[in-house]
Amino acid sequence: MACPKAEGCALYELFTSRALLGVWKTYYCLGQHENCERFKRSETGQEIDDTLLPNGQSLQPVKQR
Amino acid sequence: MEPAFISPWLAGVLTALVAVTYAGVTGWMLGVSGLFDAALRRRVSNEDLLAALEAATLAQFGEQPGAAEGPATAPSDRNARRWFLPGMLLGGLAWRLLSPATGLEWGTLGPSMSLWLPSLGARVGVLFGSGVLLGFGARMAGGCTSGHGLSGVATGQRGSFVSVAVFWTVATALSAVMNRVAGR
Repeated sequence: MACPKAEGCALYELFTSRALLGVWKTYYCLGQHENCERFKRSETGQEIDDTLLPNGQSLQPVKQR
Repeated sequence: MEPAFISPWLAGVLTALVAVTYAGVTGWMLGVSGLFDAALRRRVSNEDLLAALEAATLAQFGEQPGAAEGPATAPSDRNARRWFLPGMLLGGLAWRLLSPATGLEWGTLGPSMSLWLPSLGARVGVLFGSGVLLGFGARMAGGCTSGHGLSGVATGQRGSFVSVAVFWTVATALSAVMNRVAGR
């Protein structure tokens, strides 16, 4: 089942923007979204940074948001 | 003249049709606040972020076969999501223009708003403030009336049932109080 939080996810937009990034969408958004760190945090009401990846790591470096 | 609004039963069927069509075309559940939020967040789609994301992708998954062959999402998917918000606004405008017999006038926002707020400026101000509050509430609740009420409840999300119960109860109670005070 697709992730119910995908529409409001900042990274989901990016995952659909380039072919290489689609693997995140396939693996997490359409697959194991319950293992996505962003999904888990949204379920518990925690703040979700735009740079937080589904695997729990943060994107580095990012010059501007 | 009492405006002749569209039948709520017909509106319900049409809204459900929109939600089902959207899910069928895009493969995602409809949530207007989520789409709006995503549209505003397009500012993060800069080259630096994409480059960092591509590096993280390679680190996590390695080279993916066929990754360079085409977009990750079908064009119909992306176009449908991109055009939903302007389509929603244009649809409302088209309905108004094609339904001259509704009795609604520009800027009145319905009989209740005219009764409580006679001045157009006050109505616009209240509408804007309400929109801001609605945005905060929708993001805090993880969705708005469409996301929770249409998609979430239809797919059995527990949080959506709670959200709908809360905003439905509050809206009904507030509407009843306003009508009682206004003597309607």
